[in-house]
Amino acid sequence: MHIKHTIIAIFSLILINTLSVSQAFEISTETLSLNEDIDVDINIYSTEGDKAFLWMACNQGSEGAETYSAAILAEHGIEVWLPDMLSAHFLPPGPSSIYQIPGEQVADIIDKLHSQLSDKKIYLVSGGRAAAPLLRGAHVWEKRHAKDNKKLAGAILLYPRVTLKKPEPGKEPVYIEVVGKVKLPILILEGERTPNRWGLPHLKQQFQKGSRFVESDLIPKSRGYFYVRKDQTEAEQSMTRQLPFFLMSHVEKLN
Amino acid sequence: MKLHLSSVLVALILFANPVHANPLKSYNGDIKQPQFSLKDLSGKIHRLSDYKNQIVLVQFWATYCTPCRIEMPSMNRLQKKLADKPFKILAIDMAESVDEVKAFVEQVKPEFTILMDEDGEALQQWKVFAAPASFIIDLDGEIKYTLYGGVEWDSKEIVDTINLMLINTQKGTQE
Repeated sequence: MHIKHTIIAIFSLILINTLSVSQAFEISTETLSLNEDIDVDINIYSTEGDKAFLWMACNQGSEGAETYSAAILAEHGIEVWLPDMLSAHFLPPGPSSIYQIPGEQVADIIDKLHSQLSDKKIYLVSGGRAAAPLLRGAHVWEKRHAKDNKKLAGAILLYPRVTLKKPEPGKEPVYIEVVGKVKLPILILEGERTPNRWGLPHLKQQFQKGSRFVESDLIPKSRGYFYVRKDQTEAEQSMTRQLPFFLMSHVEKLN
Repeated sequence: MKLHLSSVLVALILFANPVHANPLKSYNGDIKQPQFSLKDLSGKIHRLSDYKNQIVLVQFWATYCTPCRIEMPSMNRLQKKLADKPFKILAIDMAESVDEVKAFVEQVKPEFTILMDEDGEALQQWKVFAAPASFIIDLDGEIKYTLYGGVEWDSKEIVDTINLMLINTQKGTQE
């Protein structure tokens, strides 16, 4: 029975991938001047379709897994913007660098996205510590557009690391201030093979203080940062290849 | 003036170990009298209360956690260093399968008790959101210290801290 189910699942996946309509897409780089000092290069995978992702990479502006996913997402009708915030700030790659990016600048990019793609639903996507600037940006943007802040369709947080300080055994985590303030719908995708998964109920509870919808799911057989790890397991390599399809199936939960 | 031997030992340990060198953090959270009832790899049930009157290092770990793997040999050495003391290590796997853990044990060879928290109930009660997450339980069954992350468990600072806990308790009992 188990083998039968597995075979059906494999055939279904192949069928979905085969039947999916591939769309033409273009890759370009646009430089956005945020103020007198900061110019951000944004790699844009533009395509027809009603959805767009603003994806803040966890360590730098564009990495292998993110650019690979962006191309496949665009091929399936989801436009992807990948801003390189770290180069704009002359910061070295790394989770602590992305954490420093001001929310105001992320909000400026969201505004730019809206002005150029007013007909698309905009989703924010982040990996790891990049959730912090992304959420701060969403919060700033929601305050700027208090009367019309439902234009942001939601945020997909891949293994978000949003604690204010190092976790302490025996104590509930303390999160950065913006958790619980953002209003947009939130989807948390946490690695199945990470202790952070056990903090999901508590994290969701905190987000629910502000957000109108909070949902979570586990990324099968994967650890946090699975797609940037040098010691990837076979399961994590496979999940990295499946990541764009995983995102496509999960974005629907935010609708 | 009559000097108590244990006081001299305490003073010597404190002199030799500045407080800042100790990676263990005093616990001031709200978990009082922590409990669990978990099976080991042979199916035997262990309750924390079974280890009353012993200092217990309770550690939550997972096979996928690299620092957990790295520090386990030092936990073996700690157990050996304190073999003649009322001290026990209970390492609780974080909701993985018995097969996964057995394969890991075969490879890494921990010489202390491994417990299985298959449904993650204990780790949620103990508010564990990171690994490795360690708790030092005193002889009264209270959490005295915690530590997040991997360390060399047989370091002088940690061994002295545990010895000091034992000396203070014995002193308290004598007085």
